[in-house]
Amino acid sequence: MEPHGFFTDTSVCIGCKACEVACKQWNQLPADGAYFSGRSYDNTMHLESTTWRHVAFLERSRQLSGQTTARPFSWLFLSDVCKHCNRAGCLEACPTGALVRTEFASVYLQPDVCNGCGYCVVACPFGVINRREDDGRAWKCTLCYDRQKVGLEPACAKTCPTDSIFFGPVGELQVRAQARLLELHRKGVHEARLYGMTELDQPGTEGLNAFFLLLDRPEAYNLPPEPRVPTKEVGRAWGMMGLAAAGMVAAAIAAVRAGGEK
Amino acid sequence: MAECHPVGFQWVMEAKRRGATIIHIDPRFTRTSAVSDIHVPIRAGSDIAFLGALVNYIISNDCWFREYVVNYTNASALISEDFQDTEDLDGLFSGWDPEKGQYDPKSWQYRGVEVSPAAGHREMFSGEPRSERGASITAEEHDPTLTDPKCVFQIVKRHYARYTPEVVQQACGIAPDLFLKVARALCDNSGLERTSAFCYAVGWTQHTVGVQFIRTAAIVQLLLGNIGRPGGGIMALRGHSSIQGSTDIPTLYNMLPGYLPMPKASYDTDLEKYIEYNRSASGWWSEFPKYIVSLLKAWYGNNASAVNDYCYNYLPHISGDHSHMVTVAAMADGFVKGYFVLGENPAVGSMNASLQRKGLRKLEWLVVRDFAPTETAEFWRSAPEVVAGDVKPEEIATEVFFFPCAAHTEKDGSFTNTQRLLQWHHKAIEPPGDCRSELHFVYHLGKRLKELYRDSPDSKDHPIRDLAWNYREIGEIQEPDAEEVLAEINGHSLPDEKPLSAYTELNEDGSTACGCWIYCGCRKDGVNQTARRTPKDEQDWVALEWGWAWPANRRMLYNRASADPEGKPWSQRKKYVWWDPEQKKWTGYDNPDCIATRPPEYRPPEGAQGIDTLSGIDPFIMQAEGKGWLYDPSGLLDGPLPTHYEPQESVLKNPLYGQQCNPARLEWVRRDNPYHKAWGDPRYPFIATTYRVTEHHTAGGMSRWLPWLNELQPEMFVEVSPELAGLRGLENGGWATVSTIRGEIEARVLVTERLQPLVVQGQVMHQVGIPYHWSYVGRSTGDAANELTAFVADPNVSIEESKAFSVQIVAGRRASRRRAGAVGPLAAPEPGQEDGGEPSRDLPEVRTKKPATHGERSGRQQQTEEA
Amino acid sequence: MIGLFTKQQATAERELDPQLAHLTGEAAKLHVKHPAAQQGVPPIPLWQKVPSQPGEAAHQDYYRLPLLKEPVWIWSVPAYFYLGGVAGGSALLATLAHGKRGLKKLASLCRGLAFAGTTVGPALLTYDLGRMGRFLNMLRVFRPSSPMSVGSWSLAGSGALATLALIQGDRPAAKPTTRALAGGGLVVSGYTGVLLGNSANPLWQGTRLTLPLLFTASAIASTSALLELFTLNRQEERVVRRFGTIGKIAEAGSMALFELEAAQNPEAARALNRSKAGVLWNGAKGFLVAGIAVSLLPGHSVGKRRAAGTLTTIGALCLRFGLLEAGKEAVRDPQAVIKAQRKGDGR
Ligand SMILES: Nc1nc2c(c(=O)[nH]1)N[C@H]1C(S)=C(S)[C@@H](COP(=O)(O)OP(=O)(O)OC[C@H]3O[C@@H](n4cnc5c(=O)[nH]c(N)nc54)[C@H](O)[C@@H]3O)O[C@H]1N2
Ligand SMILES: Nc1nc2c(c(=O)[nH]1)N[C@H]1C(S)=C(S)[C@@H](COP(=O)(O)OP(=O)(O)OC[C@H]3O[C@@H](n4cnc5c(=O)[nH]c(N)nc54)[C@H](O)[C@@H]3O)O[C@H]1N2
Ligand code: SF4
Ligand code: SF4
Ligand code: SF4
Ligand code: SF4
Ligand code: SF4
Ligand SMILES: [Mo]
Repeated sequence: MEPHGFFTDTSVCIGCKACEVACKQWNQLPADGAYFSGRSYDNTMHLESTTWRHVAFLERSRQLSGQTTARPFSWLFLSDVCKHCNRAGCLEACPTGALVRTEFASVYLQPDVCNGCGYCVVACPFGVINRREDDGRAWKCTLCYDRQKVGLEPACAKTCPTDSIFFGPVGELQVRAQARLLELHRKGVHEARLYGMTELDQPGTEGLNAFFLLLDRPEAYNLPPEPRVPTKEVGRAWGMMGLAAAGMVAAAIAAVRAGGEK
Repeated sequence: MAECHPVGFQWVMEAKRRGATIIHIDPRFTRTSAVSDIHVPIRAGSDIAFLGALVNYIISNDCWFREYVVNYTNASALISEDFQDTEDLDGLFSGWDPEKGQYDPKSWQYRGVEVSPAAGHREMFSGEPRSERGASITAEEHDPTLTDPKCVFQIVKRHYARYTPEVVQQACGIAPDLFLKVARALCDNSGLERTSAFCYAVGWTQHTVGVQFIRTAAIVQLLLGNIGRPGGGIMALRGHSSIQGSTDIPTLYNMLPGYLPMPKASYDTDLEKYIEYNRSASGWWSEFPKYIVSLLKAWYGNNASAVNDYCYNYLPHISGDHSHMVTVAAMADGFVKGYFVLGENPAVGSMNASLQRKGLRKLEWLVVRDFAPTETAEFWRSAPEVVAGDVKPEEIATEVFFFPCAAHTEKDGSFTNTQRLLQWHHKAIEPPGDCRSELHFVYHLGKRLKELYRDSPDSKDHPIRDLAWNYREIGEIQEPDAEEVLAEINGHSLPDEKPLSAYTELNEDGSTACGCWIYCGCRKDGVNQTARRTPKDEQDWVALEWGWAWPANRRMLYNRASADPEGKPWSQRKKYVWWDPEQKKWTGYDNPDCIATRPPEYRPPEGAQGIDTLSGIDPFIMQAEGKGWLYDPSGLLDGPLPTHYEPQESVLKNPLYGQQCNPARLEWVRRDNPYHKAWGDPRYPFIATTYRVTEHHTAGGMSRWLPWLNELQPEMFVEVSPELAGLRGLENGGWATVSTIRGEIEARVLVTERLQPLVVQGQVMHQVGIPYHWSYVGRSTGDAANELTAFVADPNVSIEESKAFSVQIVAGRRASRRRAGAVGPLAAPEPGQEDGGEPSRDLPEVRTKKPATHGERSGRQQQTEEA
Repeated sequence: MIGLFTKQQATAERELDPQLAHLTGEAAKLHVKHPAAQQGVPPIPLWQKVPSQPGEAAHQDYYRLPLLKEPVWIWSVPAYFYLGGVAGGSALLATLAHGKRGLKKLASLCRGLAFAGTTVGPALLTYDLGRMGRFLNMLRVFRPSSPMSVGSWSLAGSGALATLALIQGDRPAAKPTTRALAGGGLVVSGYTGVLLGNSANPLWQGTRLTLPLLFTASAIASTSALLELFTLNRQEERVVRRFGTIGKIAEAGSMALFELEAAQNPEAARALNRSKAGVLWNGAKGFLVAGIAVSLLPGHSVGKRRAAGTLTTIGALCLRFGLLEAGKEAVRDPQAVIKAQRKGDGR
């Protein structure tokens, strides 16, 4: 099976949140509580164990290139989701094998295996996956594995009225994204940039199966600027542990000797 | 549009991808502005000044499409010598009667002929009906050079000459260069090769000059040649899923299906008179008798015959204005006994909520059909005045019947969407429990009434007794067959009962029956055309096999205008329908909206009648003379040309004329509906506008019950600019109390640069944005915006003014015990009027206008002052 | 009735009438005990600034909302970290003391501690699991990329070995068992540092080189501190004291190194001095220093030994709890993630 994923083009997103609702509806996720946040129109604020799509709203007292407004201002939206990383921190950390890579290259969590150890929560460099307190297990976007299996596109992409969320084979998405980027640059929208499309763009994750076109720096949307899957770094830590263990053995030998001689 | 029509907005984004320039004109920076190329913040209620300046720009910079304007519009028509413009009368047109508070449109007419307006509202209550209008349309006087000072073009030019970019700044708070940028973009994108479209919804309609807002856009589009051509037009984005359907087959009190006027008690005394007063001698409305007779045959079946006027007298005859606010006012005064509320939630959605509830309290009975008991059904239990203890449930005599309704997934039927497209939906599951469709409710109610009156000798019961009321009942719940209803609407020939295929087959001799002439053909050949769903890649881009559009499955009205007078497309890029000289008929991608075999060279002979008066170059066939109206000689109650008037409650004195507000607007001067000072009321110094957010739907009956939506927009809030927040000590996320003289509400505050102060006439003006979705029942509750609004309306269509009024805003929550609704003004009298002087609504000319004159217009003095 | 109630629970906040519909979506079996409709204080404070004018740190992040998720672990995890350390240290001592005549009691005590640590430890870990009944799934697969998987297997192995060692006692045949146990113990006491380091948490990831040192050093200190509380013979006491001295110094040293490494990411390091984490971390330092100070006092009284042992133990516990709390605290500042990555220090 070819890898399938999302190209989320924030330049055509209208912030309607249909994707957020479609995801909850399809997957029958509960609401997370009705709280007024004061953060523009964003009242769900982040991806959660029971919010697998989240739309961010950035108000900026700054102009967007190519746009005319009466005073410098722009409003950007981004529909965020699990990135289904090529090197996925969550998957590599999961001790139970609950997290697996599917035939569509997405990262899927098997709820019947997960024991709620919570390790994936700290291992995801995007802050996506979380454990739901009352349920006790970790949950995240499945890339609509159930729908993909029967040849349907994910609910969020299906719902998105403006095709801001574009679903398809990752190779095709990359071509599409490149073309879109060029077009925007040609139109003078210099802020446009791709985020996490390939290993070159984001070596820390070796590229994302759900990547984005952004109009501001990633951190403005609450995306990490240079995420790295923790396992990429962990080799030396094991080395240090070996060293420390050797030290510990030495200390113990020294101590036992000291005790023995006197 | 992105906020309220996100699905339709995909096409706007698609157009943008292909290079279209998107311009958004809105007081607030919304989700639409976020993806537009240009956002123009405008002072709420000032669009005519802006659009009028576009007209002026187009004319004075010679950007208009001469050949189109000369041939397809009424630019060359000469107007009565008696006509006087607002230029001459400081904001009034000739014909104003200050006593009656209304216009006599006589002096607005074409020289020598009188025409009746196209479909819809027919000067409902303005004076005596005149018969045989436009009879001698061919005698109309013209000046094709457009230079005669009394020709429409010159009148329009003079009327808008004062609408300059500077005036735009004075009235709308828009900088001249921003205005010019828009004007240039629009003109550059109009002409032979290009067209521009306007989209609007209730930001334009909900004003006391709402109809004229759209008229101004029509003038702009006609001048630029953007109507009847692909990519052009004026798109009314509608609200509820079949709101278009509910005007076609109307839920309006003053219309019969297909825009036939409702008979008036005072003069439409028999069928002959009715036809005489309403048919037009020229243009398509000359076919009027065919439509009414076929309608009566559909409704009264074999009981209708030429002998008994086809049961014409069974039709209800209206005696006055029975529009919503008039009815509610009468209700509050105790004149209305019962009220059916089917799929509406007026306790939240209608203006002056406390007056609305007062009306409900005075009813004998109320029927509400909805999914859950809405505010309208619960007004006696949990309304603010009940919670406050000012009104006791046990003192309310209204008997409330709540019926659970079936959702659209639980019933067959059709939706007619904004582009007149009928789409069939099939029932997916049976409605649960006692839930039933509207069709079921109305049909079975009718059946019981018929049973009740079966042997009644009383002639008032005969209209029900004789009604043709037979539909197949399906299944256990005896659901009437919706497709049989569609078949009746489509119509059939008599007596052989063959389905008709087009409205051109209708007759006035009783040999056809048709429930709605414009829908004739929707079940052509007995096949449900509205259920067609041919995929887009199996047909061309006009997609004639997707659903069915009225009339005659035509996707674009007046599309004859897409070809030049000779019948050739204006340009290859924009070709749509054209005259095929070989075949000697009109052809193209769509069904041509003209007489298919009438060649472009055809000119009506002297004394022609009916549709023979339509020449080969008349695209606007519903108009008496087949032309698009730059100037409106008949049909509107507030003037032939759009003119900038201030809202009923404004912060500004009208910068253009001495006349402050639309003189013909409908007012309800009563203690429970007080108004602010006309302008500059120091108690209410800010402009407010109300609107929707994507996350909720209208009065909330369908959205505030859903946790998935409530978490997205959990609480009632108001939006203010950082500047206003600074001025009023408001904090983002904190509370504010917004008040008018009619009510006060509390809400969370969103301080945002999406709202910005406007500098108008050297004054800084602040606008407060108020979504109107919340009220007191449901899972997410909050104060209702309509506690603030007033009964005041546009005279033509009785639409309320909820988009621009004045308010006060202060930090903090309101007092926990709220004053009972509708017991009188919240604040002291208008400054300067303490001694009971005349209210300062209008400036001197119409100062003497009596309250509630719209009541007079309705042919009967309406009791609107509280007893 | 009860049935309906449970059904309603199951569809809570999803608004399907349980009489009419049953859930089949991915999250259909998700438990909802806390319907969101509960009113109360918002989980995240209101944003009181103007969204487009956030002030000083303009547009550096998204409304200062955390970029990463806080660790969800509860008290039992740091408690286990402590026990694991003790078990590891004890396993090692048990091996080395095995068969040594003067160290018989020490060896048996250590075997006991190793056993206790490797059996109570998993219980504590299980207690933290969201689905305790599925604790065995830890051994469903072996994932070398996951320190937790490596640790689980080591812990399980060590537990088995510790049990065997306990049964075998000081029989010479037990030698290979204790050797293996010591190997397991070394992993058990140190892998937890790797485990924390192998995360996206800005504090832990930034200190992944010193964390294993810290955990190992503290394992030595914790083991010896605990042993100090027991009555042992002089020879054994000497062993424990020497082991402890090295351990405490090593712990103090690695704490310093840890702070140095953490300081590379000042935004994350700040967590070590903020709120609960600050109290615990500084407490750990204080108790450790106090423990060292007391053991440096002249004299060999039992009281002194016990005091030093207690102080060091408390310090060691504070250290573990402090590290977890600091990890939680560090993600509350999104800049801890952003700045580090912007500097290229995220790697
Ligand atoms: N999500 C959602 N979609 C809906 C609805 C809903 O409730 N929720 N309701 C449906 C219904 S019933 C309708 S009628 C449509 C309405 O659709 P819209 O007309 O788009 O709805 P509103 O938000 O009421 O008003 C539109 C805009 O008009 C602006 N406005 C206010 N005053 C003025 C003015 O004087 N001039 C100009 N130029 N703009 C002004 C407001 O700031 C607002 O942004 O939406 C339909 N779609
Ligand atoms: N201040 C202010 N006020 C406004 C507006 C504004 O912009 N500002 N906008 C105005 C506009 S444009 C509109 S359209 C109105 C809307 O106002 P309303 O029409 O009064 O409000 P809705 O909530 O849309 O009410 C529709 C009801 O129908 C129910 N319903 C849905 N489907 C069915 C069905 O099949 N059968 C039956 N029987 N019921 C059904 C829904 O549950 C809902 O309660 O509000 C108006 N009020
Ligand atoms: S974004 Fe996080 S949860 Fe999603 S695949 Fe990557 S590491 Fe896993
Ligand atoms: S919580 Fe579940 S999915 Fe996450 S690492 Fe643990 S077992 Fe794997
Ligand atoms: S792919 Fe499916 S699960 Fe993932 S966000 Fe979209 S709808 Fe939700
Ligand atoms: S559905 Fe599409 S347009 Fe709407 S918020 Fe989601 S991504 Fe944006
Ligand atoms: S609610 Fe329905 S009508 Fe409105 S935008 Fe969505 S799909 Fe279209
Ligand atoms: Mo509407």
